[in-house]
Amino acid sequence: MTRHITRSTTWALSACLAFATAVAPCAASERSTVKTAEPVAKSTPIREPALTELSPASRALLAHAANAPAPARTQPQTPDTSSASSFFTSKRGIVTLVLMGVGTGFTLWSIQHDREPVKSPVR
Amino acid sequence: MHRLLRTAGALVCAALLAAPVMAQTLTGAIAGTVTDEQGAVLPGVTVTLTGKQGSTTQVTDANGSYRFVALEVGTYQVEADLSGFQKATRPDLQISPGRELTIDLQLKIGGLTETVTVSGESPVVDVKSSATETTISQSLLYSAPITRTAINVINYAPGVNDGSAYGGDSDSGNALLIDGVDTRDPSGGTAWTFYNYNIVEEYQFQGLGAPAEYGGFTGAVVNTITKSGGNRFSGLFDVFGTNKSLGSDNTPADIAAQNPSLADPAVTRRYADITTQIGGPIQQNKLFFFASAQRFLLVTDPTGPITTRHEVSPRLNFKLNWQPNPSNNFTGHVQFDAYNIIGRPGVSSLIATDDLTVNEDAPEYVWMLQWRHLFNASTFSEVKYTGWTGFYDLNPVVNQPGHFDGLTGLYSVSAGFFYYADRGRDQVNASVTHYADKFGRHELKFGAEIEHSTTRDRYGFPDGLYFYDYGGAPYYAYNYSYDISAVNTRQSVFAQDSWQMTDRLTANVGVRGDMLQGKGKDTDRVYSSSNWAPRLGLAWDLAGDNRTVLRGSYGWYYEGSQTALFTRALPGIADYITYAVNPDFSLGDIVDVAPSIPYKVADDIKHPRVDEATVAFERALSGTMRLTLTGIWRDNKNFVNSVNPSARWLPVTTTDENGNPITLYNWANRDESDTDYVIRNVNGFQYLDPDGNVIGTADPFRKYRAFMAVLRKAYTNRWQAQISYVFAKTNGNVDNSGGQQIATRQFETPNLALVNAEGNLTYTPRHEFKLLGSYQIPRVEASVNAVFRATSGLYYTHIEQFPNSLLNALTAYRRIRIEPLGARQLPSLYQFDVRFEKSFRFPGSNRLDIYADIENLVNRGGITDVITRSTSVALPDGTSFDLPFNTPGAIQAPRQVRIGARWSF
Repeated sequence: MTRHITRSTTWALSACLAFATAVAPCAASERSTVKTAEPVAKSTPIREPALTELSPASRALLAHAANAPAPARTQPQTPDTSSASSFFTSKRGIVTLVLMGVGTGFTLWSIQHDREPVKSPVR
Repeated sequence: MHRLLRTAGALVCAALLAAPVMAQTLTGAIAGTVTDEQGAVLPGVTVTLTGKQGSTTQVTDANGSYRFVALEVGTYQVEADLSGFQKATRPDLQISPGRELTIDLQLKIGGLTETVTVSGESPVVDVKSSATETTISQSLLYSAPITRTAINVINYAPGVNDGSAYGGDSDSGNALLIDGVDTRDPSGGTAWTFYNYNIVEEYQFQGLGAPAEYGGFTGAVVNTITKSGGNRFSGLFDVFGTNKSLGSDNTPADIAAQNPSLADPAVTRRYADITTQIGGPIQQNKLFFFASAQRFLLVTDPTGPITTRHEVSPRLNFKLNWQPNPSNNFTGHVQFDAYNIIGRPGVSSLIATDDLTVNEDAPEYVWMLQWRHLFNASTFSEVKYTGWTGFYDLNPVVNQPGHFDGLTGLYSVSAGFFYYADRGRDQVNASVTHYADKFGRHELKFGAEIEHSTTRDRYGFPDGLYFYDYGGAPYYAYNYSYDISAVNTRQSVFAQDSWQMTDRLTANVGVRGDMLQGKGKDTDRVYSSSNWAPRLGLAWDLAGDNRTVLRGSYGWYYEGSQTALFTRALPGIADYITYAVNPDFSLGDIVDVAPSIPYKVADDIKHPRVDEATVAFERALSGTMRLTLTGIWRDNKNFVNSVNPSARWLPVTTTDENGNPITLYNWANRDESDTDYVIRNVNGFQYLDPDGNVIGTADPFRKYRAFMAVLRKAYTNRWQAQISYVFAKTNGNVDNSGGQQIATRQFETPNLALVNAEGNLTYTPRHEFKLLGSYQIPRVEASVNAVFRATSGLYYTHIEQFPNSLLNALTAYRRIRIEPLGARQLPSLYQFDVRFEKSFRFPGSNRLDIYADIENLVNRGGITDVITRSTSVALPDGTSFDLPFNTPGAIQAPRQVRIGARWSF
């Protein structure tokens, strides 16, 4: 595998990287109001509580609770700073996109412009 | 027992079959036990862990225990829920790489909707690890006025100075990892890839008592983990800069008088560092992105005749995290950096003019692909492909042959050389981690690594010539070049166990094997070394309250694979040809040809390593403060160098420039022996006189002894700090400047190997005091953040260049110490940097920070280097001056104010 980075491949790859840098935010989604958060790790199987290991008070409480209807399990929610509307249609999202575009464009310009005087003739 | 062995055996096989790894831990874990108010364990409790990329649940087992493994670095919340009890929540749990937090929760009987938030601090003492932690708190790092060159952060850790960690080689002895990618130069081990300070999620320093998964270093490991996106959108926009008007001049008049070059101090004309970042979800809970663009610019007028140095680093980073299901997590990260410099000195910076500079063009790509798979709550694996590729080219600004005048000492016309370095590294890592509960608790980890790295170095003169003039008239011309391609391959395996034998005693044992091979691009193997390194450690929770621990560790740490070890044994070096030159600068006859003969490499060579033992006592002084006392012993072994078995040396006694008698060695048979060199472990090599009598034996050694005290205070009551003091001594006869234990030619001559060879090594100050601290001022809600470093002076030695007529040797062999190594010390150095920062918080977690850094607040002009060999300097304007021994050669950078603003959310 050649290790030479030619000017054209450098430009092409950096453009791809910049493209990803700029486009990914646009492809980003908002929190779905329907979907529930999924666990990032596999859960262990749910086991029945071993009552013999509990203290008497807990045992009595659990024995009572076993006959009661199970409470609705609340799915943990990840905090989200965005409102229901899309982040990128919000004022902050638009400003963010503009700044990212400017920053990425400036960096790309620098890759080309600032390297111009130092580009090695053997590359 | 059989089951445990079978499990372990299967995991070893799985790791080996899965092939390669560089397994440095990038994740942490949270485990604990849930009890009721009477302390009885509660099985069946639903425990929910919430981080920035989603939530996961477990149910406590029959022992009331739970454990979440393979957690990305970040902040988490744990919540325990059982019908009939109040919920218990522990927020703000900070996960660090390689550390398991123990979070025990107690449930109280109560209503179903009630929640108790426990605000207890995270444990401040890790009572299971036998590694002495030298981590710097992230909040301290982010608030501190440290240099924006992120790799220099290592110098803020206790025991590390000028890149030399615990007496190791400066810079080249350290392993530098970005998301597990080894970004060092595969030739000499120095830093090659730099990165944006703002993309760092966490730094971790390892080096004292590091477990078997860490290898390839004899100094320290800097483990850098970059930011990732999460379910929340986050952004950062940072502008940081300065200019000439915000700088000062700190050159004392007496120093300027001694060294006129320092009278023209370095001036920062312009500095601008702009970062834009965004991270967030592409698909909630499943796919996340992080993107960063940065442009760094530094324009200076350096010390000396050069008028402009222009340094730019535009960088792009992009990272994706994909967790298609709860058991699998994929990460991809790529960085491109187009680092370049205009105005890099091509000769000594004291005399280089703009014409005598080179341009540096040094772009590179860094990449990482990782798959993490959870088999169950006790077992997970990681497979990773990482690497980088880039080049580093130096081209003379004036593309003509350079000239050096032997009478005046003047360099002219051009820098006189070009240098092209190609580098690449590919690496595959795989590891399996398994938690077991037989005979105590075990955290087992097995892994394998495969590395393939390439280097190519090209050097030569413009038009193939370099002129040696005399009094302005042509005299000689030289022709020389090389083009050397080398390949490193490495296969490593490791196995380790953190075995919690009792509630209070943990044994950390492991072994690491590194098989290293080196060759030329088109040659057979020239270097081969297989090494096994034990790692043993104990951690004893003295009081059983998780507040006091006594640690001990012993281990061998082998240096990384470096082509510099054997490149002199490869083809590609041209003969060194000397021509006579006619008055019109045309070439005359060939005067001399020094043939290039590749070195040989000993078959039984052993790879350099350091043996280390540590003993540490750590005590929590409060819920947020701890004190660590550590004793460190390190001995370097297996020094590799080159020797000349055929050379014979004739003792000669002469007088040095101080008027003292000194015995040196004349190369008696240079013509017959100057092509006979062997790269080997040099201990025991005998230097002979013409009659075959032994005049001395090589005995390379380096011993580091240190006592380290570190007080850490986490942020509470408006302040945080890390205060450290290190008393250290590194004694030996192989200095700890870069690459000394592998790549110098010190042992080719007894004049460097034997004469005044032993003493204090350069980069270990005897006393070192470091303070990082921050304080939040009430009412104005602004913070003051300070870094203060006071170190006793570095060591140096008086060197004299003796004439060829006396020693019959190359110039480099004639520059000899005329007093023991490290006989002198620079003055103590004090550096005080401060940051003032004012934060404004707005709705929606928006935050605006305005900050100002003042580097060298008191504008001290402490001496950081001196002239160690008397010399003269000639400048193109006709001026010249002498720089006798002990003349100040460099001083601290002057006071400079930098101003920044950062918007983040």
